[in-house]
Amino acid sequence: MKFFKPKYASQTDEELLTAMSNGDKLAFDEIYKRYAGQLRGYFQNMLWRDKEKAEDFVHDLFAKLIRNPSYFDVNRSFKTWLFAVASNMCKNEYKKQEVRKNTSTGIEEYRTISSSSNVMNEVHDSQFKMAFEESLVKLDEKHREVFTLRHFDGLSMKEIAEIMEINEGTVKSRLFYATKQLSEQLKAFNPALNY
Amino acid sequence: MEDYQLKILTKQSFDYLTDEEKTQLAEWCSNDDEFQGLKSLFAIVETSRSSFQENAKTKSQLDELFVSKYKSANGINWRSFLFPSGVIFFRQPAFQMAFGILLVFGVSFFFVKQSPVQLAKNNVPKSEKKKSKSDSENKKFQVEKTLETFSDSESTAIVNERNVSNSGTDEIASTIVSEDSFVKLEQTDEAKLADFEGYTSETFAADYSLAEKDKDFVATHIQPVSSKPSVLDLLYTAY
Repeated sequence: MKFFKPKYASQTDEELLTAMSNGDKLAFDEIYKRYAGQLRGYFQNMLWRDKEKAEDFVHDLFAKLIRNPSYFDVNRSFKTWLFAVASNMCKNEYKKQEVRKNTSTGIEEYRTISSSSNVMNEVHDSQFKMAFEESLVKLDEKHREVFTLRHFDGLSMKEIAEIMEINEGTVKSRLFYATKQLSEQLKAFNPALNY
Repeated sequence: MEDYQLKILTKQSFDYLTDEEKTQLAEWCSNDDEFQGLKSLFAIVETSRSSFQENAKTKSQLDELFVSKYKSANGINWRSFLFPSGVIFFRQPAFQMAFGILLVFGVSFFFVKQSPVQLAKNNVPKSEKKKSKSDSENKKFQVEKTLETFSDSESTAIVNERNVSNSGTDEIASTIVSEDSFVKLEQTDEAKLADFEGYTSETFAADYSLAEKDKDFVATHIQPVSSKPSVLDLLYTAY
């Protein structure tokens, strides 16, 4: 049977997407396997550590891909295109939250509730991890996004620049700022200072 | 932070860093405290990254969506099965099946016993024979019909029945030549008219002279064929 089956793991994202658009379920499984975890982490970091929301966003993104694979711009790399779509989804969510903030309970309240509830449910919760997550959430969107894409999703500076439609220099400066900010906020957990 | 910088950060201790490595990390950390701060930050990033677990529910929902979008009514997507994309052509099931069928046919030629060589033999099917027979019959019938019409209309074959037996004067009676009269003629041995094929204008002439000599013979005189050459042509083609 192996004779008939193509090796999906060795295929590029673009090849897999073409196969998927022809109804190849295994190609879709491979794409999901490659990116679902990364996207889940990205959404979780970008959406105030809200796991459920992150899961919904992962679902929505892949559902879009299934319904309309032609949305994919063949001139771009699939990975950057996927994260650009994810980034836009997050931006839309921020806008939605802004509207809510101005009309009713407010985004700060949402952030606090969601953040605290997720932290409470966290299996591996340590004080340091909690502090890190809170610090990450406190970062403004553009710095958080760059940090997440670089260190959680493993994208290069060039790819991040493409996703966020900014130049590489801006990516580097934002990344530097975000890393310094986080490091500063987590100084209390620095083992070198505790001893 | 670049990958090589992260590598230094995660694996080394600040005290063991070479001058070159310190230079590479200079923009990020200048002392041990900052170095340790960054090190612990990236350690927690690594932990958080590996904690994103797959949700089986989401996957099953997406699978259902995929199936509902792409599966055909029979439940099998033949196109993607036979021609999977991203596969070299000789690995595509459609190509492999076609090649298999070709191979089976090719091999079967070696095993099939060939019938012994047959020398030229012209087998005309019975139906064709019948057809040619019926064709000639049709032609015959046509000729006869033409003759009939000829006798009816134009030259209404005048039979001069010369009655020379009683009065001595020739009495000429005209009768219309019909098929029966031909039969009658055929039955007369003396007139030797049994064989229609040999019945030419000359025969007619001979018969006429014979009839003149023999008074008892009731001669039947039909106009010579030379008066109507088309009849002769028809006779020639038919017989």
